[in-house]
Amino acid sequence: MIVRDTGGAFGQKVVPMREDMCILLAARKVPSALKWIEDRRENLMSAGQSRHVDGKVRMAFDDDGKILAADIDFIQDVGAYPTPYPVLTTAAIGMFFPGPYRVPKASFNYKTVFSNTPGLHAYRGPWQYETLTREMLLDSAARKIGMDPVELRRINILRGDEMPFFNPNGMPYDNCAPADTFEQAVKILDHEGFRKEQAEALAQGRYLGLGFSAYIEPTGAATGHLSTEGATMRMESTGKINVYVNGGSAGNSIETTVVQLTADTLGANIDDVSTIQGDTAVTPYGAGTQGSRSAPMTAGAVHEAGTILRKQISAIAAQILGVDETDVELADSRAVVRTDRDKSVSFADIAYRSYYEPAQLGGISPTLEATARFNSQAMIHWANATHVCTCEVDVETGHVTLTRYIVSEDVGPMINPNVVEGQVAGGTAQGIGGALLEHLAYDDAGNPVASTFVDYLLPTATEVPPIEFGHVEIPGPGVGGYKGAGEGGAIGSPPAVINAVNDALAPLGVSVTQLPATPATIVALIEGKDHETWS
Amino acid sequence: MELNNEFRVAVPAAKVWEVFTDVERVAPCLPGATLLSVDGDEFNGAVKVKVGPITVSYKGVASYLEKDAAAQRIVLKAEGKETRGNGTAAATVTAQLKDDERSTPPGTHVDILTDLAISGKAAQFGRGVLADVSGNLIAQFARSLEAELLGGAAAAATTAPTAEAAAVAAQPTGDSVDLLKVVAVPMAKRFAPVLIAAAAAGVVGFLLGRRKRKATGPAGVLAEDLQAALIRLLS
Amino acid sequence: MKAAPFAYHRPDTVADAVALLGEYGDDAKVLAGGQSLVPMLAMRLTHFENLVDISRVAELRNIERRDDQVWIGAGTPHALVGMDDEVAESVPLLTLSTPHIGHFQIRTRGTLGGAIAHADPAAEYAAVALALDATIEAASPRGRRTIPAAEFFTGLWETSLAADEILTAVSFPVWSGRCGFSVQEFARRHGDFAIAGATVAVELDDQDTVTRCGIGLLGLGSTPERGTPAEQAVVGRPVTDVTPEELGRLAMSGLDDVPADLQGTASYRTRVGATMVARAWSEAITEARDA
Repeated sequence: MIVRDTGGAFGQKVVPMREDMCILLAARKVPSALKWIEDRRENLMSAGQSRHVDGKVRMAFDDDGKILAADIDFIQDVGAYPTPYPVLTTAAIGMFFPGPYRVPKASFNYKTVFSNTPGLHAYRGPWQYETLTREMLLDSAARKIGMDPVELRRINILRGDEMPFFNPNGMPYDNCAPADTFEQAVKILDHEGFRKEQAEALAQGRYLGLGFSAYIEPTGAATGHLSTEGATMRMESTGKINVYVNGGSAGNSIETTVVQLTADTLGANIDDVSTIQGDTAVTPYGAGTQGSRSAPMTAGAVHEAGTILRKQISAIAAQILGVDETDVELADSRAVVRTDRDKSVSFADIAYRSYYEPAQLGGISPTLEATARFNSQAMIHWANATHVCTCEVDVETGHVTLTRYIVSEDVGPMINPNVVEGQVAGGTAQGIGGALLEHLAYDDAGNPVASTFVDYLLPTATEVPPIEFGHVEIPGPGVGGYKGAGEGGAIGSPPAVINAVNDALAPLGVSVTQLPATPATIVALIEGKDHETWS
Repeated sequence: MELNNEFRVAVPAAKVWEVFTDVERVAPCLPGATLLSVDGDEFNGAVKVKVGPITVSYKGVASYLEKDAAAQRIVLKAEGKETRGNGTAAATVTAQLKDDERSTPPGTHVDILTDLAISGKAAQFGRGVLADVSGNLIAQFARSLEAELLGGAAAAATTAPTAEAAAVAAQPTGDSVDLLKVVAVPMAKRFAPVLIAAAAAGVVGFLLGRRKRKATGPAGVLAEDLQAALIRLLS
Repeated sequence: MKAAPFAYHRPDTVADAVALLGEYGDDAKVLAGGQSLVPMLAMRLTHFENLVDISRVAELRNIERRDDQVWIGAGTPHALVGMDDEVAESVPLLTLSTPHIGHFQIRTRGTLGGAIAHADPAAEYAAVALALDATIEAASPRGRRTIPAAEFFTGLWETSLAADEILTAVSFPVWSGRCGFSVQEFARRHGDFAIAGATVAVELDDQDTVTRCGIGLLGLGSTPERGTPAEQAVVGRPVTDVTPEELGRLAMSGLDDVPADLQGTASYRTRVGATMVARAWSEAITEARDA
């Protein structure tokens, strides 16, 4: 089976779907090549759905604003014939509800229900309802208590020196400092400056709003088939390196990061490394891209195989250079004698000796190839971020314009900052879409009405402001300290946007509690009407 | 969705009842409809609905669920499948007749309540296409029924206007252009003889449907033509 | 999904196009920019055995000032209309509304004639044609005729064009004197179909009395509409007599078929429509008073 970059998956392609199964089965019976092309209407109407959750959340505070307890009670719609995986992880919503805060006691209760809509998919951050509701609740509580939402969070958010911290549901947070990403976000924003601007605008009849959201998420969870990852590495007869991994690239640049990691591990030039991915004839078994696992897991696999190949290269180099293996350093696609840097041999020459002059190896093994499987010992790599959003609401039309967006995140050291920012930005755009635009709607007769992109509204470049980044790099428990970065953007963003909208609407005494916060929804709130929604 | 249409016609309720309980008279009133076969109270037919460039064709079965002569109520149920596509249409049409003592000669007030459910491509868009499709369908149905009740209205279409405009409070609307189009349709369907008696007794009924077409100049004149001609025919 | 198979014809002249329509009747459809028709064909919401592509008919692609009118050939793409100096000078409502039509790429292929013949209730040019009392020219096997915009739009995607008739041009009256123009439209995202919009043209005399007013409304019915009650309320009165908000309400008061759909209820659309009229009116009268 050959699986190349799918361009985008976001959880909808984690498990083989019905149509995949049919093609696989049919391919064994039909003597010619088979092709299935799904069109957009089919995808929107039948491939899958997510984020259809309804619930009630509660928090108790003491007189100083410290959280005493938190509770979430919710119903999740799992559609029809959902794949088991996302359904079983619905409990995660309850488990993570306390979030990155010092919460002594918590409880949760939930139900999953079937419906005659497409089955549930593990869409990017499948449990993010916990962050959405908790962060909205914190803002709502702050307004009730009479405290700025920033201050209320500051009092309760966990600091680095409190790690490891067990949340009231037993989740073992570690290797992170939510307070750090939070304070960095506040600084980037210029909190005081915004409140001043907001007050001035209100005096002119304009409604500006500010929303914060903080979360903590488990990345690279090591359970079952997710806990190992393999890599094969080979120095070819030219001295160039090929690295084979399962991959599962879905637009998250594993092709780039694996090359970087391999080059780093072996001391090779990036240009001398190539990767082959997603071909079961030659690449190792792997669970693919899901659960933000690719960075920590491929780093681990590359490290395992790379360590072995490195040793093989060094042994041959030492023999060529006439020094001890411990004296050999690998850098720049060359092996250099540490104590006499003028003495070196290129990877090309090392390979030549092995492949073409093995008789001159003097007993050293000619093998320049290693296969290994990494077995992750870290159950979870905790990543965290604080999102900040500012907006303006046109109260006549209900239109929301986002004016600024800040993500202050900690995914540990970054293999490639461009890739990390790309992942975060993409997730954030999806969260903005979920907050304001996207709705798989059905009419009263059960007809799906958002069957094309005319009606299923995706955020475009004109709806998403430039995203400002702040990075905090607290190493995780895995190889290189890398933590997962794929889902966070989509987790932290919807509440940041909704909180900004509700902050803008606060002077009017109304707040949004249903997503998407469409212009019609906002106007209905302002007019005090019952909003007739399409379900 | 629920749709309401009503009209008054200067035809006694008993005569209206006759038409309404006659499958061969009612079926072709559904616009773009063709009657394929009749079996007692059940009939098979096809309907083609057009909104702009979009056309949807259905084929299905309709039957009388209720014919309550005492209460003057008819309930018709129709179910069809798209001939080119996966969609379906189902409608329950309740026609309530009431004696209308106000008009001279006495007539009937007809109330048509339709419960309509459509599935398939036409129903899978967020913009209000479906509402227009359904509304057009039922409004034209009501108009055709009315025209069928009046019988010989087609002959009137070609006569010249006279000074004898309708005495009844008229609301000539743009509907009248469509009325002419629609009047021609049942006549083209080679069905039971025109109710001359009904035509003799009546003047033009009015359509008070929810969905009006736009009033245009020429159409307004034609409405008067029609009324005047019908009066001449019937007096 | 792709369109069902069809026969493709590409005439070079209006006469040839009309002949083809005459020959195939209901089985033929005119194809201009294809920005509305092709998606419908691709989704198989409609089908025609024959497509008559008029995009190469040179005589349909022109913009000309003819006395007090600007004549625009039906095959002229939106992009050219929007960039044209004569149009900007003489029919500013067209220039102002063009950027609201879909996206850049759509405007390169979509044509003014196509937009008006397709008659989407949210079409900007259609609302402008109504507001300015434009004249539509058409050709069929029976000859040529003109249709006033007020009589052209008859229902959802329906016009008074016959099945074998081609819209060949639209002529827009030129307003001169102390005039102001504005187009205000509200859509969910840049380039989406308008939820509601207003195209306003106003003319004042030297005492700031309103001498003429045209208000075209889009997205507020099954066809583009005219804000007649509002126009009647302001013409002949000092421009400050009616507030923009009141004008917005008046413009909505004549509408009886405001759509309710996935984007909102009829009452929501009415509110947005009133707001668009109010904002367009404010902008237009400011321009007129400065003129």
